[in-house]
This record gives sequence, structure tokens and C-alpha cells, in this order.
Amino acid sequence: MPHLNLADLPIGHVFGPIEFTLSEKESADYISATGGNEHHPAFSNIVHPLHLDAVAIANLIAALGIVENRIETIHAGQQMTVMNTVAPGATVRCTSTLKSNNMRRESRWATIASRFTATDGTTIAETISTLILLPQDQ
Amino acid sequence: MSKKRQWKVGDSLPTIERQVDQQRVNKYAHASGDHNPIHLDADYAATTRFGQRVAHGMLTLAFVWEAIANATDGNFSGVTVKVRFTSPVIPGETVTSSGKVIKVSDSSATYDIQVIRPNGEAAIIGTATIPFAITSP
Repeated sequence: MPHLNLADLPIGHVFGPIEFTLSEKESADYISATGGNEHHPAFSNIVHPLHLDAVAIANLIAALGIVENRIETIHAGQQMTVMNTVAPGATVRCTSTLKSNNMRRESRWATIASRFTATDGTTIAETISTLILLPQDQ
Repeated sequence: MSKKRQWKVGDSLPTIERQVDQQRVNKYAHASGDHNPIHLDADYAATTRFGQRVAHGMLTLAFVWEAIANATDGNFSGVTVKVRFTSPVIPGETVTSSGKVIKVSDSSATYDIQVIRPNGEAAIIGTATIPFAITSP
């Protein structure tokens, strides 16, 4: 699939939706990478909320071709509100929307809001990511 | 079933101290799917504004969420965390996540949160708002 050029995207552009499932092993790998202890009692039966956010950001990175095109990127800010948690193996749907997209100090600043829902439509979490893409022509 | 938790101004989040070595960064890239070369490729990273590989901001942010998990027994319902990534964590550094209640309302406590690098610079600054009323898992 061709990559999207952020400079061409209008406010309101929707990424996805994507659906994904994080297995018990994937969830444990995430807890191990971030905490060093996959048996943390708080995460024994749930996916780490930030793991969901990480999947959304990885999806955005892929959509924008940041890795393939070696676009230097700074993750400037992140906001997350959790409404519900999900168990490993549950299907999660994520829809991301471009909320702002402008040039500032020769860099492209974008804010992207994501909403995570369960298969029954229940909201799991909402996030806002601020990314800065360099150089100027990106 | 619901219960009430309560904090007051000045209360602290559990402190998390964690080493962020390249092995952890590699593990995080695998677990998260974020394979941006600025975190993984030393040659590429040398050409960037940082001049070397840097850890994922989201990896460092996970330490804050772990502290919140410790404070809430993992009940995250209604929790909001809002941060800025203010300086990069360099693999090999040990960082310290902490937070202190700066404001309470009838329904929630707001913490100032930060993750500090060994040189004293903040890697992350922001706030976490945690509701008092929770539903037992």
C-alpha cells in the first residue's frame, strides 16, 4: 500500500479503522519490555492500556512511511484517557483522525486523535498524539 | 460494587526507577511494533538531531502508567494522563518516574508527573488525573 504524505492530508483525515487482537504472549512481551516483570499483578488479566496506544502509533508510523522513508520524527506529546480495559485476546477497533496539521519552525506538527472501541461499541480509551516530522518538505 | 479511594495534596505516586538499555529498547520495538530506526539503527541515528539512538518516548511513559497501576491496583477506569516528551532518554540511562498530587476535587486527584534522567533533565512532564470513585474489577 502506498504511504500517505502528511503534507497532503486534510484536517479530518481518518486513518483506519484498524482491528487488532493482542494475545497473552504479546501482552506479556509488552509488560516485560516496559516493566521487566510480566507477572505484575495489575496486568495479570488485562492488556496494558498504553499497549493499545502503541499499536495505534505503530500503525500511524506505517501509514506515513516513516520507517521506510527515514523521516526523522519526534514524538512530542501524548494524552490518554482510559474508560475500560480489555483482556488479552479481545478484538479492539481503532479509528484515528487528523486533528491539526501545520508547519511550525520549519517542521510539520500534527495532532492525531484515536478512539479505541470493543466489538460491542463500548469505548475503551481515547488518545491524542502530537508528532513532529522533519525535514520541512515532509 | 464500588469503593472509594482518596488522596490529598502532597501525596506521592510510587516511584519507579528503571534502566533503559538498548536491549530493553529492542524488546520494546518488538513488542510495540514501532521499528523507527532512530531507536534501533546506530548509523541512521547518528545522522539525526540526537546524534545517537534514543529510547521510545512511549517506553518511558509506560513507567508512569506502572506507577499509576501500583497506586490504583490496576483499575484504570477514568484515568487521564497527559504528557510532553521534553528530552530524549539515551539507552544506558536509568530514569526515575515520580508524581505528586497538586490538586484534588470532589471526584479526582491531579498529579504532577515527571520522568527524570540521570543528568537531572526531565524526559517527560505532565499530569495524571485519577478519579476517586472506582468500580472493583
